[in-house]
Amino acid sequence: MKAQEFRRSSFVIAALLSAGSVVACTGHIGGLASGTGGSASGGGQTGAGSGSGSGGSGSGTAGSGTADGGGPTGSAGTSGVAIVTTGTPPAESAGPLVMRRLTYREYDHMLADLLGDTTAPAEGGNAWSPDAPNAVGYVAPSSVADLQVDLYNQTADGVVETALQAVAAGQTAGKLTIPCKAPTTSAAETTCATQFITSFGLEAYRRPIAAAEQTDLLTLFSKVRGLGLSFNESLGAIVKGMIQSPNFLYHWEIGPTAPVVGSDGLVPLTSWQLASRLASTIWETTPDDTLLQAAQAGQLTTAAQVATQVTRMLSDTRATNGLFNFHEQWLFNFGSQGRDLTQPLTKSSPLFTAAVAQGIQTEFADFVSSVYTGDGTLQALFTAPYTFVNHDLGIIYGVTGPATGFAKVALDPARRGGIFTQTAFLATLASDGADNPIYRGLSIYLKVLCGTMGSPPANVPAVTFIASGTTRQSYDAHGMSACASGCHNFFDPPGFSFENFDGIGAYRTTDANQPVDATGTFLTPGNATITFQNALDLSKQLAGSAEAQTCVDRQWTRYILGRPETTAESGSMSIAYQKAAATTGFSIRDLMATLVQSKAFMFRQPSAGEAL
Amino acid sequence: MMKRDLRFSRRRLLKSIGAGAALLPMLQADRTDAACYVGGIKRMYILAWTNGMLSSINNWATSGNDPTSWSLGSMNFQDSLKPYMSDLLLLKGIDYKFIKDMPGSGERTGHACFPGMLTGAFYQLLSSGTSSDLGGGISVDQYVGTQLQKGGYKGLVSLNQGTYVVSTGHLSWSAAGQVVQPNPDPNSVFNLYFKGSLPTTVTTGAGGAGGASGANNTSAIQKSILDYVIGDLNRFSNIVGSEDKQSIDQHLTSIRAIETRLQNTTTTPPMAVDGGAPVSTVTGTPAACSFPSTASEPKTTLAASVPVITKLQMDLAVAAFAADLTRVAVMQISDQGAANLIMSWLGFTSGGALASDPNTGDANGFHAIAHENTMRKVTCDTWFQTQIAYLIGQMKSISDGTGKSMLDSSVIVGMNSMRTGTHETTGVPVVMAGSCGGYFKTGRSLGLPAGTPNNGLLVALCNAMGTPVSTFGETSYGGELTVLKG
Repeated sequence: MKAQEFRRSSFVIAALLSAGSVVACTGHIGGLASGTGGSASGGGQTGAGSGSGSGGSGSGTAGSGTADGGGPTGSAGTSGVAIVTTGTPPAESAGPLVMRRLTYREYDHMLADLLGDTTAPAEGGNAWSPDAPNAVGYVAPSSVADLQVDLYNQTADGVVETALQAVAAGQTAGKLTIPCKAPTTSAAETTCATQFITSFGLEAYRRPIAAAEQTDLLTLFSKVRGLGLSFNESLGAIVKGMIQSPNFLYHWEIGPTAPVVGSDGLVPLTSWQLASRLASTIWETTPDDTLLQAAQAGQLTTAAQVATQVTRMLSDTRATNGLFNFHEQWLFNFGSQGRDLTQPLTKSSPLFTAAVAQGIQTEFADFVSSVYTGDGTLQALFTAPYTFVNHDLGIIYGVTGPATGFAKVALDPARRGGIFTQTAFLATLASDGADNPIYRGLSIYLKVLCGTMGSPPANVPAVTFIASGTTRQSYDAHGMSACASGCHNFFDPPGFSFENFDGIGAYRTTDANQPVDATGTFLTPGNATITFQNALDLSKQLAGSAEAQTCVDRQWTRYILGRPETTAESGSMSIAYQKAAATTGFSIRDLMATLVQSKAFMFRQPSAGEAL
Repeated sequence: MMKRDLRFSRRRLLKSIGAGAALLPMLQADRTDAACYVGGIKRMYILAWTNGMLSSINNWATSGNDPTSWSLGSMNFQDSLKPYMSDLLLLKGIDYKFIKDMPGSGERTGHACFPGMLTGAFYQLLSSGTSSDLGGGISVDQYVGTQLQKGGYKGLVSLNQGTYVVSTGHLSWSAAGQVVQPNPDPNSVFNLYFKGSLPTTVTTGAGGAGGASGANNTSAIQKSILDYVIGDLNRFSNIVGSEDKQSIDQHLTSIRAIETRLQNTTTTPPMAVDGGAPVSTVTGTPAACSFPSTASEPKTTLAASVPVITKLQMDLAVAAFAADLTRVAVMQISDQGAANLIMSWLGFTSGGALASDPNTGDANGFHAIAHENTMRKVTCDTWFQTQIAYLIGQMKSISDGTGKSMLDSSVIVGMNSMRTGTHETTGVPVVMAGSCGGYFKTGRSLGLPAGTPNNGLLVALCNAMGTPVSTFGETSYGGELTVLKG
């Protein structure tokens, strides 16, 4: 995925910048929680990012009680937006809706659905440089550069020409169907073109075409027809216009009716808007016929109606796209230190074959999908002792994989359980040659526990590898140095829990001929102390931790809304949390489903300057 | 429909040279149609890279204004430039003052200079890493190109190219915060800017129920499509909030740029902009006046491809100059760090992650070698100078038969984000070539006073190109570096 490529390379730069002389330690942690009200709850961590961290401002909106729900109105949080874990949730509201361009993945998927183009022009194109992730680690592209617009233009030409050729050859090309056969009169052509604009426009704009758009599209049709294009080519020109239009390229989903501000000051999304947002969130593509029909019938206005669609959508194989994308960004995109699952660093191990490098993406996708189609719990995601392997991945796991394709295999529950003990996680969060406790630990601290951390200071020393020492010994020596310890004490220990796994994720009991030490203890962002024996133990504790559970609530919210959470979402996030917590093991499926039928998702604040 | 799962498509990695090969017949067909314009047109080519133009052990001598008593760099690293000494103007050096003075936290080393090298303006450091830094003003390429267009020039604002641009620190900005991305792919450059801009017949697509048409008025058809898109963008812009409106309006600007290109494809001979004689239209050296073949384009994402991609990109830029498709070009070789740029063509092979800091790329990557700052770095420095020499050679090879070459009316600027491999942002050397129609006094190697900001160079470039300014970027850094004029 391009976003990851982008952030990995920016990490290289961050590191380059730090390659100066070691003088003194100038960095700070971005705001450690100071806690409020004598409990670990709601400690606001608002620092981070700039390398000059601002110290904990403790701006959390903590209630009283404890983070793990022990009190009557517990709440926990790291972003300053409270999630009430037990008791009455705050009133629901909604924040602003982000207008954003399609991600490259969405763009490619939509062109595949609409025109049958399977070349993935954006993800696969050399000239398409990656979009930046937003401040909370999810790609939500906004502004556009000339080159991208040029590429949209060029791609529109190419994919439409190819689709027209397919249609001419009697093949299927996505939703591109000519609604009539060789009209012979001008009037018949216009009638047919009108039909086409209505039918294809619904697909491309994810809502009915408006009258002004239809007029303009018919004008386009007659202009290019007059310029000598054939009838079909002229319809193709319409498609080229549509897929360069902001109504295709951006998620904002205007119309077809004007927005109406309710008495609460919020604007309900229309059924069409919800259909598009659901398809984008869960499938990373355009709505299917069922969703469009539900929107047409106005049957996406209640939470129950949305819930029905979500259940259906999660059982569709396309859900793998959205689930993969969310979990991939959640666990691997932590700013400049993030890694790219789709582009693991080269490994010196002969076991890390091309089939493994490719295969870990499928492993990751299939595993998260299986969780959401299975019992749907955080506990399963973090502890279930199975995975999906191809032949070569099986060798790393010490199990027999299938000769071709992928198969679900049981793993030794004494060694592995859950996503953090799988090759996809372990081999991605690694250095070129070896395992890297820093990356693994950062994922746990920043992404699973929603901690914050400033950029590495300019002059933090590099890790010095101890000859014949274990990975842990080298990183420990580094992390305990006066300069580094201020930050590394927080994320190195959870990273050390994975010392039973080498740089490709193979299990080991010794490292450099010494017994592996995978034990540790650390202070969570919410000031809880976690002591663990190994990764299995840590994973199990995380699955049951209110801090991790509220964090996954935040992460899904950030992904779904394409922006950081605000206090407006506090109510919806609290309700989603409590719904998830009602199931043993904490149902992240219910969490996600609740969020997309919440007020935070189904409503929005008007934008400043918006025409209402 | 044959539906394939796109979830994990990474054809970017797997992309082969197939697309390049497919272009070959068309490229050859275009040759005869390509006009070649030489004299009287001012053109500016900026080549930028990182890790320093010099190392701790190589250097070149300066000699003030005396054009006779200077020599090129030590250790033979500039030998490739020897044939062109009278065309050169070497500077030592300029200061990236902005990087020290600008507000906000962040690093102050040469790796962080890209966003201000061509703007001379304080830029905005964002917390999410150098990748999101936002330029603080228009860059010189965009300014000059835009002004040329305002003066009636019909080509591109600029041609922004790159090779192995893995990271995303950006050089070029159309306005504060609005990045101009370099195109890293010669095939894409060709398809975007050359294909539709040539006086050649393009057959549109497949036939169908209405029968094949073979329409050859592609521009008019494209324009009709874009008119619709513009209408949609305007409607959209009127509905969204004011912040989003800015994004949509930028999109609109980009679409209009395409439309402008289309309108200008009817190839009337260009006008000279320097007040000189009318432009000569000659056939020139056939090889230099035709469009290069990108058929042999290797994977653009491989470091090993850098020499081939660099050559293709330069060939395309020179061809674009010759056809007057653009008068400004910016080329970026690798990114702000070039940490994994393993220059295998110079004999370097991957050494694995740098042991002392596995996060700063390969032990034999350009960045690690730059930190050594000695012999291996000189080898790299030599290669970069050779690229400048190649470009000079290409631009000199296009002449109108009266002794005037494309280079004479043009200026090439070779820039780096630091002085040597250890991050200095002061005394940064610059290699210029070409007098830009007599504006610059070439054949010199100047030593500049300490504290000469890069802004003075940017002002001089604007003025040389006939798009005058008194300051560029941060106004407190003063005006033109007039010593360049002699």
